Amino acid sequence: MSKPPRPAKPGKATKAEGRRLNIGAVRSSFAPWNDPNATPLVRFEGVTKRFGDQVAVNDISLDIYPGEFFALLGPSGCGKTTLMRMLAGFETLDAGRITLAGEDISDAPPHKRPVNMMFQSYALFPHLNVEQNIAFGLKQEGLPKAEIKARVAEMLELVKLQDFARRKPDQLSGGQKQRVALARAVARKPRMLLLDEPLGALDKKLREETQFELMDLQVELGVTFLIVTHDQEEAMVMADRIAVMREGRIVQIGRPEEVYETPSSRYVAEFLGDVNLFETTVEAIEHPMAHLDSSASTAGFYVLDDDCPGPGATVWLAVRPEKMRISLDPPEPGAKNVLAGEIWDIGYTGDWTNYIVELPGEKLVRVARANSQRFVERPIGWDDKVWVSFDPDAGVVLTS
Amino acid sequence: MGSRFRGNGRVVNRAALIPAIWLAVLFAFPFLLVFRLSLSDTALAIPPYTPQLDWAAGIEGLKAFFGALDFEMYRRLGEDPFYLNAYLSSLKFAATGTLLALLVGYPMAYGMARCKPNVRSLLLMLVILPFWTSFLIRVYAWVGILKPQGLFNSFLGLLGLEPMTLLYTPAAVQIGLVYSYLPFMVLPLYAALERLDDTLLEAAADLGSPPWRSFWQITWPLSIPGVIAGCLLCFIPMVGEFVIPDLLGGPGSLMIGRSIWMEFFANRDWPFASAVAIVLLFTLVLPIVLYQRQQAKALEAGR
Repeated sequence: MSKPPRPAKPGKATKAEGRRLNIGAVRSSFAPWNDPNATPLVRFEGVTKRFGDQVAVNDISLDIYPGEFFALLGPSGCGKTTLMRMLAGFETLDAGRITLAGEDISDAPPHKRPVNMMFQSYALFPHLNVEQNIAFGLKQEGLPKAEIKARVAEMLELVKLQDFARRKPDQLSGGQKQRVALARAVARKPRMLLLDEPLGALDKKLREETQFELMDLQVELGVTFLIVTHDQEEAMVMADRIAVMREGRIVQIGRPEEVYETPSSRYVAEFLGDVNLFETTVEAIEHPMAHLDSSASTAGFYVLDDDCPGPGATVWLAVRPEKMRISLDPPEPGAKNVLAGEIWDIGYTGDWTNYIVELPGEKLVRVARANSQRFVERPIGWDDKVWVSFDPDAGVVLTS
Repeated sequence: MGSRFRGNGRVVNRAALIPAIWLAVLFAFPFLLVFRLSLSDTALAIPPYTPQLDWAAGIEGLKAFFGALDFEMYRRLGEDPFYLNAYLSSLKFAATGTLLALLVGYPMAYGMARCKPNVRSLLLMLVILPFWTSFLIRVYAWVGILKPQGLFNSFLGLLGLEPMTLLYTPAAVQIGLVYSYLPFMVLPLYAALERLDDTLLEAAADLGSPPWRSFWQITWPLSIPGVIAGCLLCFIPMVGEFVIPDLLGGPGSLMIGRSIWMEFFANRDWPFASAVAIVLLFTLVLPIVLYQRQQAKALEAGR
């Protein structure tokens, strides 16, 4: 399947890019959230939802901008689905309000909202065929027959299901059902498309393919997408911005690379990918370095002093496994951030090998190494003595 | 799909014999007996029909036996408008009763399916509860309710309304039919509605359909298997109903079940009663076949 080149998103002037924004491997000029003059499409203002005495959504305020692909990411029960269902109109608000294009829609019934949702279970109408399913929303608008027919044909082509128009949902594969659900949801040209775990029921290969197709589709249609997912990889691949949720609150919002590389808390760091956390005490600030004292290393750690509190404070140092190096040879004398240990476990996944290294004091550290060469002169084996090291800019200092 | 599964297949076939034997003993054999009776002639004898098969006469006796069988009773049945009227009247009672049961039962089943699960099982229990009492006693209870000085007329009197003559009228039969067969309508409807996935209604709302339109576009079409099952479960036994018209109906409520009873026990005309029964059976085979086909289709769709 050949993909058309992805057109650039409507660019807005970005802030002067300092080192903070220059992280990760992705460069994008689409960042309306940094533009004080941009108007959001959807605004959640102090939105709260309770179920009994449990607060599912706790005072959330959030702006989503036109053309954005926005992801709500969190474990099950964090309130992400409830937040989306409130936007679709399936849950009432206990406090706060939701506006769409400046209009308060907090009390509008679902059938009067210009948003459409793709359900996790797809919710295809079993008694209607593919064509009728896609036409359902158009029929409700009372469009002329010819126009409905044309739009359905257009949608079938968009999701490449022209040959399946007369099939009933139970005669389709999972991937085909997913496409019908998608076509049905976008057929009405909604202001916003809500996707509830859209790829959850697909197998891994199909999921990866569909991720890119969804991104292309979003650009092609120019519709704002809001996706709910518990799969961090899915969110990172597709979204322009990710909101990480926990217990009814948003704990961090940012571009995928921001959230991954500069997590705001241990929770975010651990939820997105793997991370090694060291509990440390700030020993001294020696600008641009901070010297951290830790039980894991007698020499302590040296990291960049961004956002690092003053001496004496307890902080956590977070280092991603892929940003650590592992070696059978001792480092040169005077090297910083070196940990000696023994191989505890090795996980080989083909493209990567994950080494679990046991440090003195039974602390385990995870190091990931890309297998960029087919043959290694001295492969690392179980119980080998190894040295793990990382650069001062590889770690992030977290205070919570 | 190899030979490994053949052993299992044989077990399934053997298990299928049980219902086959059941049907042969309890349906096919009695049916043939009644059919043979319907081809006989009435006689003042014990048993009250001819011919009797004379085994001692051998082949000749067999020839004489089959020679004496004829369709005379069916001809008589066609000539007498009384029976045609009884059939039509039965069908009318059953059709009206089924429709009324559907009109009453659908909202009931719908309401039950929308309840919380714990309330649901309680309501389901209440629907089934009347079966704990004898059917006959429940129909007799309606005599007490509908009679001139009965509960219903006392209630009308309390409201200052004129009493109504209900007992021994077609209306009483209709009430009795709807009351007695309502559970057979509610249960399949409930089963169909309870299975309905709520997210389908959410999807319909999301796509711009207001609730009442969602009902007609989603809920109703998806409950049709339940509607068909409920209607057939009511209609088929209602046509042949004997007890309700006998206890609640007057001379105006002619139903075919009562005619069969009268021919058989009052007139001792076994062959004619058998012919009436056979025609009734074939009148009902059509909806049964339709029902079977619907079931097979539902089974296929369910997979």
